[in-house]
Amino acid sequence: MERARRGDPAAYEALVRAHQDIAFRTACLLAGSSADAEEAAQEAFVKAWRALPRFRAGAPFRPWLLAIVANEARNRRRAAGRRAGLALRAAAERTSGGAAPSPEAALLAGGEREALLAALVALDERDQAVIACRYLLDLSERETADVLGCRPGTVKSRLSRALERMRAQLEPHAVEEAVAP
Amino acid sequence: MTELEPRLAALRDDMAWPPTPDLTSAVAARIAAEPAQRPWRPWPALRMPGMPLLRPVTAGLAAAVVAVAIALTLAAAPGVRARVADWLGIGAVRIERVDRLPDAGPAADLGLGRRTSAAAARRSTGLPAPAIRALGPPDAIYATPVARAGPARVSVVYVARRGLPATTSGLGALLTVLPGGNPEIVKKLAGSGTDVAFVDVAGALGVFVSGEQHVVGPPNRLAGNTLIWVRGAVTYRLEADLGRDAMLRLARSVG
Repeated sequence: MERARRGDPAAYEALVRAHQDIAFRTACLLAGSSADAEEAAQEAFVKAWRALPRFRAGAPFRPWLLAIVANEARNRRRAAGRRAGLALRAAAERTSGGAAPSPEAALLAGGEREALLAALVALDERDQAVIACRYLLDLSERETADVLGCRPGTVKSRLSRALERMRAQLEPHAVEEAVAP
Repeated sequence: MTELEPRLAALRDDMAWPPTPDLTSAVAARIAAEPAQRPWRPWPALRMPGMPLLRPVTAGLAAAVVAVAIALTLAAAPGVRARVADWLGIGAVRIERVDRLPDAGPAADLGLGRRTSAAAARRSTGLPAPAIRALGPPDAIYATPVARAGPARVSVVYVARRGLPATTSGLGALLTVLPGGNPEIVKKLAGSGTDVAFVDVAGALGVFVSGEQHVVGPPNRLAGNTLIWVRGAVTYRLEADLGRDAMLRLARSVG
């Protein structure tokens, strides 16, 4: 990190490689299209490089980077007049289409995976975003706050309400399962 | 029904995200084409009275300070390309920090427009034409209506006199009145020897530019101490060869 801050392109390249997955997925979530997400993530990495000399030594790089990525992605989504969450839906559809399950996913038996995704994409954009950041992207509270442009405390309360609404979405499925022969 | 959180966490690895493109190569190619990084040099002494050190990036002071941006190169003046580290917008004025100033001297023509009266200036531009009450009635008023050459402006002129030394423009004091909002109407290029400090002008946000001369345009010319502030939808720019406190006293008497 220090070498990158001092302007070493090779060191920065290593940082990009280490963070490109999370940057691209975060951009996917917010931009609503993978093409825009690619552009947003690339632009964010370039802007982060230009701003690196001002980056405070010892501060965590990932939340800072993800905030830049989120900003770029939102700008592109606004420019395209597109709703967020489309990438999440697309991912959900592909998942439903029968991708090879991981061991964890295999535990999600009896269509539960599809039910979870259906409940998630039925939420509004704000609820989807906070749940996706925390659970699907595995971001910390602070990183989620940086990505969504709010305080960590707001993330906590927003997440709690979003989970409540998701539980309510899932409730009918639970009832159906309970009464099924 | 099991807890929702662990079920969502288990879903993580099952999400079919689009494959990540090769961002590393694309970014490496782009940064290789850029000029070498240089150590960050913050704007010096950005202070509001009674407030801790502020920098444009973090201050979030007011809508008048519109942005601080990074740009690697841009046309700083006709025929000159200077590497720009950052910029600060206040009202209609954009102040850029540059490594070197473009060639400029005291302008023979200040581009003030047509000499007129205060009332006529107000009618033709829609802008106020205030006097600096501490200096008395102005010696001349000039106006550039919208239709003539770019955005409207009003210039209120005081000739040099005892206690009001001549600036590089040859005038004692020049008060320029501009429509606020677009920080592209007047551009200032400041080198490393020019200080840029936030000041409070009777409750309005202001910026005091002092130290080594800077370049102001268009048309490009050298300028000395300048106080810029925004009140409502109007940007005021006061140029005089005076210190900060004296400039603030003059600014407070504008009206």
